[in-house]
Amino acid sequence: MIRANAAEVDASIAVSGIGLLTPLGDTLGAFAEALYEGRHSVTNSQELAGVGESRIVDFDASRYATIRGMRVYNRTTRLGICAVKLALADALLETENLDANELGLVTASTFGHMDTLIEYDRSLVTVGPQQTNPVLMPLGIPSAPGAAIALAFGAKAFSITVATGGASSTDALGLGARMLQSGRANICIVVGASGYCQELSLSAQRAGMLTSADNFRVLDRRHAGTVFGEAAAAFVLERVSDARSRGATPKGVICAQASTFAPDPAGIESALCRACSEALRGARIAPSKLSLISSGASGLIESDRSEARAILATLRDAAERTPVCAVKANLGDTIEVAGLLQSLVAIHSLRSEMAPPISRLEEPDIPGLHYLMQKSDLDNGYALITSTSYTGACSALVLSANHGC
Amino acid sequence: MQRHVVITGCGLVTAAGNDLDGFWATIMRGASFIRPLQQFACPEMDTLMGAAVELPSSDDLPTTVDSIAYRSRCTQLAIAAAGRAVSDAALASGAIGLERAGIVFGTTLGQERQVADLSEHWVREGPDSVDSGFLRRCDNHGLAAVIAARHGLGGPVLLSATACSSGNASVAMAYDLVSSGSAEAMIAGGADTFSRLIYCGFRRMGALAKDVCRPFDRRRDGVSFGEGAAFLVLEEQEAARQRGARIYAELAGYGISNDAYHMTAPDPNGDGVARAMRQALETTSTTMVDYVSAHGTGTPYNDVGEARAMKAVFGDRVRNIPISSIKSTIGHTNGAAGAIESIVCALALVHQAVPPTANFSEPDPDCDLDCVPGEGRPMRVDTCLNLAAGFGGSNVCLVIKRPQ
Amino acid sequence: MEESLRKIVATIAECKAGFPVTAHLRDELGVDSVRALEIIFEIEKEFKISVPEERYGEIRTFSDLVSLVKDIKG
Repeated sequence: MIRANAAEVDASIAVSGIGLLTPLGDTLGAFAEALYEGRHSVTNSQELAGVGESRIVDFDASRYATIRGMRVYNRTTRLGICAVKLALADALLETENLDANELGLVTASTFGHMDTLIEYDRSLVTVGPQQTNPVLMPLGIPSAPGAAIALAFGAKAFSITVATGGASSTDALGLGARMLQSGRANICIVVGASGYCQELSLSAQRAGMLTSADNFRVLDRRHAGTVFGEAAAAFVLERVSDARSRGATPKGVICAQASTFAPDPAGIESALCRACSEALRGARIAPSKLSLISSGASGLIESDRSEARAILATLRDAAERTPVCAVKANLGDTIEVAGLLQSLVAIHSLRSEMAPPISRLEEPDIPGLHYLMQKSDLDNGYALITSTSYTGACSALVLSANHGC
Repeated sequence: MQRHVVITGCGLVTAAGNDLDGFWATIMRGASFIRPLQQFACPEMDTLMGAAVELPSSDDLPTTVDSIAYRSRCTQLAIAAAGRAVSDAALASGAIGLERAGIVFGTTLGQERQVADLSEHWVREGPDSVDSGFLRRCDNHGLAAVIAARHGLGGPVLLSATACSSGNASVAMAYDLVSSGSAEAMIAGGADTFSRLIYCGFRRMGALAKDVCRPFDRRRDGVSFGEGAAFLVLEEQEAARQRGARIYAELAGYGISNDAYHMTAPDPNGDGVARAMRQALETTSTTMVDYVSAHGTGTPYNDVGEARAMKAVFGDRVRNIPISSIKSTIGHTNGAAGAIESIVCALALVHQAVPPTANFSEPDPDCDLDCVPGEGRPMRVDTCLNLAAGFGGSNVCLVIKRPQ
Repeated sequence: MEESLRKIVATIAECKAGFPVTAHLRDELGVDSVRALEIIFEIEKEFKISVPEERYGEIRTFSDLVSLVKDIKG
């Protein structure tokens, strides 16, 4: 149903279902437990010397979902489909019972099609078009993972792919929320997935971005680079009023989201701070109301510093008492999935009133923030999610677990 | 808070010209620029047909962006078109706070040529061919970022991908950001160039036209591709008036849907397209439409499905509404198409005329639309629809009206 | 040979291999245009033949497919 009258816009957007696949678990409970214990899934790469990575071992999509056509989809797409399946189950929804015209999908994917594109094009050159598997062509474009996921679940309201690198899923959550607020659908799934791609890891290694498993630390004085990680996560979003009227309990509420841009790395700090301030203004809360910062710091030295300084500038007087966590320390940088993972960590932490430590953090690089070095009690207030991309996108999201906004 | 959004700048680079007046005059003649391509080829395929852009040397790709222009052609086209749009809107004049201005960039294939470049090297050097810059060069967000950096934008800088409706989807997303007050101004549009993936893939599917595409014609046999880029500048109406901006048209709103039918084939009933159109009309309180810029790719399936959707939405009135496809002139420009066709709608309002469908001579009774054969037609134009139906099923219909 | 063809079709159509030889590929087994191309691709690889595009239209049922492959292989 479309609400054309702006005065009727329903602002509160609930997270009514969460699904995730990570090397540390595929349920929120198991994943959170791993985080509270400070565990991480980063090991040394078998393929690239001196490089750490975090990979999902023994992933078998058929354990989660039986979807026609899935057999030709790449790993990233299959991960995404499985995360959505889990999220819908968590939301107590079955697609057969949904009005497909009221189901929308936003997919966070920047590199999700790359391994298929590389395989297809390489085949054109090595064996020629006639010997190249034709089924790969439609799967080699950036919208392919999203289109496949929308097809799998019959999302007929809309299907949009957001490709803003490391800011993708934070931006995607903002887009999904806005689409619901303007009545373009009754339910919006937001999904992000990131599967291993050898060529991208190789390039990152040669660019000096990656470090070994032993040297991987986030926000620490000894940070030396990042590692790539695999994961998938999905949220089911709906208007709070709709969730309540069908008897579902919102797990979290999306209050506001803002995106900004920095043309070069030196500008990230101020652009991210602007995004945070704008998100806080949109949520109508002061920085002092934040209970938790779920940061996107990834171990890249300058990027970590920009992120820390942006958070400091946003929090001001509240900086020393507002806990900061960083899930990339546990899973590596899952790029497009990061914002969703940061958000589900925040939701779980607020609901349980306990936040996880930043794994392997011993000596914070930038002073002034309340970095969590052990798990910590938490007030159930609001959380701020901060994300950036290698290409200058900055994105911030404010959410809560109990309050309406 | 819903605010009115207007188009204050247009910029495009297409096979039919790179300046608005020249482009309009050319498409109104009903010529076709789908020709044998000299500068692009695919393995084991004869000379390919397509509509190529010619750029002056002032639009050469800066070597700081990429020293190898061929593989960054999409970026080059985008920079050229965005520069023209920004100039046209006088966006850099200081009247708009660029810190709260951004861009939504749509593309179907993005940096596919970076992968094509890699393949050429991989066959000789294997993994050694992957250099330190590859990750950055094939990151499609970089397309939006390079434009944003060149024009000092500090607001939302987004890359959206919905296959060939990406141009329209980007304009729709930018519309939402301006009308809600999340941004002061947004650049919106898209770019794409010729790609091996799409030529080889469509050829294999039998969906490539043998010579030129013939939208809605009985003899149509497939798509012809073009390269291109186009961007609109969108602003809030009152702010645009106050700064004395030239207002082309009002972007009144949009409708969106997804077929969820098949990864490549459109829903033959045109249900998804019809839903997007109805939503566009309802949300903008539009009852009368004077012109529709169709998706009109020239494949047997697309055109008949689209015609069905038009009939379902407009009923008997459909024969009174001119519905043309300029893909007949400039080819299917993929991510640029929606933005180019939005500019066509804006120019139709300015010039009070509608462009023709080129290459049309034999009507198809299953399509049975007034597709404006021959030359463009002067007529009263107040309201246009711009329809895009993407590969994989994403449909976006924009409503573009005479400014109040 | 029919057994291999049956296996290819069953894998791609995601159906059981016991379908009748007269089964209509599109209408009964749900083989759409892209899956049809994939079947041809796999057949060309498996039997080391090349199926001319002009003959694609001959393939409506599974038995059509069997006949075509027999004909090309000689």
